[in-house]
Amino acid sequence: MINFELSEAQKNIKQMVHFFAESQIRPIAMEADKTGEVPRDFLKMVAKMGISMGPSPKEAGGEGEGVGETKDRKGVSQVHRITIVAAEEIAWGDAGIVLSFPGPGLGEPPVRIMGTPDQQKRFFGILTKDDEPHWGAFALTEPGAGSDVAAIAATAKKDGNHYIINGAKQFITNGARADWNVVFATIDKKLGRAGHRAFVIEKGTPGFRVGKIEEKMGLRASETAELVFEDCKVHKDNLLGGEEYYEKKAGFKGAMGTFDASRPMVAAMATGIARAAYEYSLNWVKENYPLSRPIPKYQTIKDIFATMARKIEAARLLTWKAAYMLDMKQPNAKEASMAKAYAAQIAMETCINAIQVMGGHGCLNDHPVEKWFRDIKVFDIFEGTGQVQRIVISRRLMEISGESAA
Amino acid sequence: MVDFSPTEEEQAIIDQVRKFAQTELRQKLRDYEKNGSVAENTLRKYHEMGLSTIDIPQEYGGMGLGMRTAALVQEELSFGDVGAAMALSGPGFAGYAILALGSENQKKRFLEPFSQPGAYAKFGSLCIYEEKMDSDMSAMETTAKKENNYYILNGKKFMIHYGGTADIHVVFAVIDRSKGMDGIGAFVIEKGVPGIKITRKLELLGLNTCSITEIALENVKVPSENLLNGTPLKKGMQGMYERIRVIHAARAVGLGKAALDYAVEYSKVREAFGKPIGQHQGLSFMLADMATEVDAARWLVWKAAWHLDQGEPASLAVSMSFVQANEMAMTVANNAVQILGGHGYIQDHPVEKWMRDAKTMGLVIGTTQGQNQRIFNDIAGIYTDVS
Repeated sequence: MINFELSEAQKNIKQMVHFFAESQIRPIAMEADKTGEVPRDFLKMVAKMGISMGPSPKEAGGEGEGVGETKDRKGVSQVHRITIVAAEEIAWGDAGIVLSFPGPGLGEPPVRIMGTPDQQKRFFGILTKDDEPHWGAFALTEPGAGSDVAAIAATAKKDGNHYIINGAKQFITNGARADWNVVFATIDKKLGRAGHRAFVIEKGTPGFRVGKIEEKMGLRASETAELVFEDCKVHKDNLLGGEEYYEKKAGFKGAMGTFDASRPMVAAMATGIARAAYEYSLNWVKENYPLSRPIPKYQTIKDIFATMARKIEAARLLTWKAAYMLDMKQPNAKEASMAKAYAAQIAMETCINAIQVMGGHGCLNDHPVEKWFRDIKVFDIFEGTGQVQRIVISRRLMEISGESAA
Repeated sequence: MVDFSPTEEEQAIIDQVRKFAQTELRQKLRDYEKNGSVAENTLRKYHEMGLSTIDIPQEYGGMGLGMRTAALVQEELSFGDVGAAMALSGPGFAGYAILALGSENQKKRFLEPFSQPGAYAKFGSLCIYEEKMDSDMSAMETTAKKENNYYILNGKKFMIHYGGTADIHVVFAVIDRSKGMDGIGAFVIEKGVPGIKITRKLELLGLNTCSITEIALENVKVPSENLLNGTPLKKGMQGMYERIRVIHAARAVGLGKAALDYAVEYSKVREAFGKPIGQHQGLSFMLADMATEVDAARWLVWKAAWHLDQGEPASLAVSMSFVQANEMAMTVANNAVQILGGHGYIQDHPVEKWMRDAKTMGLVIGTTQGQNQRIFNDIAGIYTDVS
């Protein structure tokens, strides 16, 4: 039955996460953006509390530590719905900080989906071995291969019980501080996607070094690294799923499968940022606009706010739908792309307009809105650009089964 | 006869300015942004080319080339980098206030020094806006009190370009509140007069290459002859604002052109799915829309500047060009970042900076909403007060 009411579990999480975002994240956000660093004490606290960006591997149905499966009243897992409700709230606090949260991050889905039970235990275990913050990361993008994931050029060459990795990865969130990176490389470019392999490469592996840390427009509290592999020797035990896995399926599919879960999460975060900007500017206008303002000016502003509110609501519902399908184990690629493309776009628009209604004040870093403007832009770029999402959507609409698009 | 080609003289200037913008502004834009100013050598070259007073009439020492040429020059400079273009020297918008409101003698006295050889690092600063004022002049709180042959100015000004460091500040202040707009005066404060303090250097989303500050005026003593008295404020301000808006819009056009050009070049060399990304329909349509928007804004700006040079009523054309150019700049810069993808988001490329600059530009000189209101009033034949 159609129902838009959050379950008790969802409501509780939302409340809890909102409280955390408001009391712990907001107060440190502007400073972290300026210095480009999240306070170590904060990260330690987050690690200790076991808060992570997405569901824990266990909750998502994998091996490793977690708080256990949460079922809705029909007995269906609601972990993805809970995740996006939480993601919106936490990004409402600050997205730059959230992306720095310890945990497997975007490296979680490939390890869980492709990894053997042993690999899952081993790699997730590294992250929870003590109370210190630990990170996992996902390294797919290369200087010459972004949206066109199939074009990756990093190579993996078999050498006895090892693989020799050569190549570079770019724009890797938490890539430098991570204990391990899930790195995609090709054993033979001619094979296309069938030649892709996913390796878990641990920090300190000889031949692996961190290149430059990027200076970005926004999300400056989050670390974005370049990773360089020069004759990097990785044991075959670190090949996700083992060699047999790739005889059955393409490694690329594994990478793509992770997007079905990560895109609704990105959409939820974008919705959270949009909501933050909307609420902040609305409060500012209420407090600062004298009632004597001429009506026509008011009308423009009313129109702007009404539009913001409407689009945020629509973005949220698209996101909920995508997550709901994920919980129901229904194919959701189209819906995940719709949510991601729409939420990222309207969130940018909302931030632009939030600054606009605040006039010159909106541009000042006295207010967080200018920061959200800088942060939100990349949501229409990472995890598949808005353009790639449109390819995915239209392919599904026209039932084109081609694989050339992400 | 309708003609879109610049004159030979203008073309020569454009070519020269384009080269200057490329070598002096574009190539150094990150350094200039980081430093919050452009290098002295850049200012010197700019001044030596006569660009700092290009739109000041010859009788006051400038090149006297009119608004159309000035708009073309600003477009080219901003094609290099809009932040750097706005950080260049000269009387700037304060000069427009003096031209619009000053007497012959005042114009000569205050503007001539800007064109002297060696005056390459002289700046003018226009101080109208206050934190609680928006574009509503009646809410102005800064006061000027007459005492013998002086006025004593007190108050605060907000978002002031070169506030506190300029060579001349043109400060608007209320002399007699009961007289409304007629009770407001514009005062020229020369360098060295005590009492102007920078209370805060503002950190903004964009345009960080220019110095934008909040200043306080504490018992600033200004001689009576520095009260601009050639044209009544109410009458003169309209023309002043029209010039300011056209120049600002021309800069937005330059920014839009720069972002478009950068995105086009990138889309020709970057490949995805086996061909340059510009050859994918999704991106090619986006680029086509961007190009159309840039040109539409450009012609509106040129037309507005042309009206001003003809001495014709230009209010409607100016407001239209202002709104179109500012909104275009935001859209085009946003799309340029999008087309560069992750590369657009990092500081190795200038598009993320231009996107921040574009949003900031749309707000430092009144909002597009305010100008839309004027457009409506003009097309509906409703008289409006200046602002």
